[in-house]
Amino acid sequence: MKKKLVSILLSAALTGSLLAGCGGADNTAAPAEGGTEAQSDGGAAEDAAAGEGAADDAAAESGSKDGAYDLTLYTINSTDEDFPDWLANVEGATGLKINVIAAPTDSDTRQQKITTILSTGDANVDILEINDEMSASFKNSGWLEGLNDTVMTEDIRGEFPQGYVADMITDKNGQIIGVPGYSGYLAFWVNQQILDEAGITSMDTKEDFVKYLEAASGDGRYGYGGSWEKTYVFNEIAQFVNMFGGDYLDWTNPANREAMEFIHEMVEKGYTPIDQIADKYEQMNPKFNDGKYGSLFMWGLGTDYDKAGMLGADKIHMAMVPQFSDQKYIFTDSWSYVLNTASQNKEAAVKFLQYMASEEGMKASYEAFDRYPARRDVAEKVVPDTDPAKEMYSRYANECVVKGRPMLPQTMEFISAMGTIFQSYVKDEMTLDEFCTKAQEYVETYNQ
Amino acid sequence: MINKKSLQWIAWVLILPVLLIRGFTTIYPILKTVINSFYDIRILSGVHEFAGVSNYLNIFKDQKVITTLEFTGVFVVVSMFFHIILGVGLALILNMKFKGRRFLRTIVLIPWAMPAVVIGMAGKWAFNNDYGLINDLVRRFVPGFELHWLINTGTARAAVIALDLWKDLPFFAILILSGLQFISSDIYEAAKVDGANAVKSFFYITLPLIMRNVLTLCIPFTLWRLTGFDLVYSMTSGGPGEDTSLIAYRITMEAFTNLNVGYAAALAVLLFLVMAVFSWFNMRFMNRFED
Amino acid sequence: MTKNSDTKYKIYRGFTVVIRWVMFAVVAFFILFPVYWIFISSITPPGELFKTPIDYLPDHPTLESYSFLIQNVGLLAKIGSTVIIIGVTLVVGTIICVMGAYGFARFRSKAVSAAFGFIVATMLIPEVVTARPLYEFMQKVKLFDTYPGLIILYISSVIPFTVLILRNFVAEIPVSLEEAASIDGANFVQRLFLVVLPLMKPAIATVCIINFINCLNNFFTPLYYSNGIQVLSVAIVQLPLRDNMYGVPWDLVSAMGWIILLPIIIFVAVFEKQIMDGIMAGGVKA
Repeated sequence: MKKKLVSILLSAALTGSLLAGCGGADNTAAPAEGGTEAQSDGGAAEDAAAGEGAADDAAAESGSKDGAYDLTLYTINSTDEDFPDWLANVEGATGLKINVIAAPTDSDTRQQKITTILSTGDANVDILEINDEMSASFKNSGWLEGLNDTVMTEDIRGEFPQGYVADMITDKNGQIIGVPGYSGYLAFWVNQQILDEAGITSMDTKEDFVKYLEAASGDGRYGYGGSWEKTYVFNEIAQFVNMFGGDYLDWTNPANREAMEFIHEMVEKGYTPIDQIADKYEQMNPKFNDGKYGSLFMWGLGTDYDKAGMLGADKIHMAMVPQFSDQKYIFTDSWSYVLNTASQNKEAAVKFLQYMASEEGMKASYEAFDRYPARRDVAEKVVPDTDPAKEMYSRYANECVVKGRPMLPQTMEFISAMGTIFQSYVKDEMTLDEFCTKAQEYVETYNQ
Repeated sequence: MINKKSLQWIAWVLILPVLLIRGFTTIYPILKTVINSFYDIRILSGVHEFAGVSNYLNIFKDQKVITTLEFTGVFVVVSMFFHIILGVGLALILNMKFKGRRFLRTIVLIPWAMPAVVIGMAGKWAFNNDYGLINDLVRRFVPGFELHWLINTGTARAAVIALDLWKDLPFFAILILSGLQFISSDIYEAAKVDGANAVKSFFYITLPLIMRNVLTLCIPFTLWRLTGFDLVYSMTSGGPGEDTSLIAYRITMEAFTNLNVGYAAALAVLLFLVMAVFSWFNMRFMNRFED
Repeated sequence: MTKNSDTKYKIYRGFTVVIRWVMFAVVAFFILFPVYWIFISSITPPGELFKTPIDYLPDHPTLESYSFLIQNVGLLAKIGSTVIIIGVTLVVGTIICVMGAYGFARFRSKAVSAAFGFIVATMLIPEVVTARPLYEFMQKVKLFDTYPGLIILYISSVIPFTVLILRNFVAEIPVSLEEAASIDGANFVQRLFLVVLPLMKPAIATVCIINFINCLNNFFTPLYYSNGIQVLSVAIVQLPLRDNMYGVPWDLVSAMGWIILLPIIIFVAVFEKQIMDGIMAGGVKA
């Protein structure tokens, strides 16, 4: 009998040998011995429980079904180097035992996962981190718990960026549904080396900007760079529309046309490359580091530039947004912690959120993940003056009209539809009139 | 063959496990998909109402889907064409008797065994004009060569197809090779004696003998082309515009990102019908081919 | 043979050898070079990664990305769950598919044929088509994000292909062999194990290998139907972010790609002969 099973068991042996190749031998025994499903599952559970106690992922692996955890957090930061410290801090401060699940970091995949979890009323996850695109989609869906009375209470509400809270994370009943995890700007970045070379000293107006484009472009270099992949380009279209004083949700506005013409001209005159319509941030940033771009709009504090040794006042740095129309405009964004309505651990979840909205919680996030505190009072206290972002960020807050990005409930569909026609427009497959008509149609379709 | 009534229970004992597991994971989702396809379900807008066949009618008005269908057709036809041509060629190379054969047979398995998502992400970089592998190699022969693969419809589609071939062709070739093996060398010797050269013996001996094998293989490989989307998912996200979007990718986006569940279900049913029709025709063709 | 035609033959031989090696080189280059490029991307420090022209021999090779991944993405846990899931899938899946294949090949009745038709027809249903209802279903039956749930899905995904191949294989084994055994007094179970199974070995090995690689590369099943249980293939989309929350760093993608690829390459190199023999012997019985 035994001999005849050899070929079937071959597979188990193969699997074992694979593992040997990987160098991680501690789990080998489980599958090879598990003759039946039930047996192996037992093995699996034991394995998970015994597992790698030290690894931060062990928490995620063993699952929360046994009630050992107070709360499950679905986070995008779990693969950060400083995550274990952050988690220890949070657990210590709140007294909660938190089960961590790593969210995908690829943006499409992440969006799909989170959307699915919330839309199916999955109660396995209590707290999630969502971006503005998702907030816009979910805030009126009833999937997220209102936090006005528990977390985002009146005493602290005023310290968060007002326009942002109102635009992005307040639902139709006036309930705030999230705790902003940080404060970020779609900052204007310039390459000082190219600025110096072009002899440009001020970058305050549209004329300055155009002068810079002209001087910096040529020989494979472009005054302005972007990431115009169809879902990424949204930020830049909206930014330019804003700067010209237009309204992204009204394509009959002449300022919108002006903005689009300006972008088209940048392409035509060789101030910005058309090939960036395939680029996401990971393609754009290396080019900026390489000195291929003179300026761009980008989120974050410049880690990519830092890694390449290009961050600094004499190299790549943030600058004030040039003023194209009556005002200076800038977008802000955040990722918010939200509470799943289906959650069965709401008490613990509220405790967690309260901590995230507090000074200590924001400080922990700033120290671990470089997340600029969302509360003004906290940023003032926590962020040292030596942080180069501090000066620029407070100038943005004080000198610019700060807005949340214009989004509609069917966010991603709207964003990618707009991106698609934008690409057609800059590739001259579509006229400006056609573009504006189509854009207006989309606004109406997705704004229901 | 066993068809005694009294023994039928044994058959059911044997096939029940596969039936149960397969049924468990497919019956409910299929029924639900078919039902959903007649409803207008837009979760993000909170819409859930009976819609008759309007989802199906909308498919043919939706420019995104029309572009998608167009590329899906191009993708399947072009990719399968090269699968057959290059696959047979590669199989012949793998069948040559020489010292490098074992090595070659080992390495051809690598692309097939590589996760598609990894290949897709690598592909996005490989076809990048500035930092990509492809243009870098071309530039070593044609200095100053510039081509932005992923921004124009034609080149982006070519890039997706090329990557698909890189991943899947070796596996196809190996499966053809398994057919080639059975052709005994006596036939070739006999042909040589009759004065046939290599080209002639290929067309008159090899090809007819492996034709059936090749055609059989075309069924699953075509179906995989119709249902696969990992490459596009991680490489182009369907861009530029919707030019490299595949139908399966479109369904995923509608079902999981846009949450237009009813519409996604209608697309899914349509895809299923296309696949069923294709398989039916293929079977018919195969049967005729045999006669 | 005259001397003249002898040299001619030699030249001809030499010519074909050259041609063969040229073709060899071309194929090897096309396959290996991209893989090599991914490798050097993974060992180049991020700051030096983007260069034109590409530096095919990095100046400062480093394993930083690898150590970073091993420390921060919980690789060991992922490998553990991958091994559990695939191991059980292959063992259980193969057993029930062999049973099913035998049943389908040896017993004929309308109902059995219909059942076989059902299995084959489900092959036509692309995973994406049913993904969303299946997601809700898995939650309803409380199998979402559990090992049994994932294993059932994995097994289910290998069933149609495996049953089809194995059934065709069994159908080619002459019934007379079994009948002879049966005359010798062998009962049904003995016939299956002593007569049929040994003959099926190459086919079983083939499907195991193909299923193994397909399961290892299965990305969407573990991605959609679990949260906490994470397998190796999903790790590629769970890489640490840089501060902008959207960029997926190529240095880490390439390193993760190699971490997934390495066991496969070792597997392929070690089992090349078995894989080839298996595929040749039983892979495609047209």
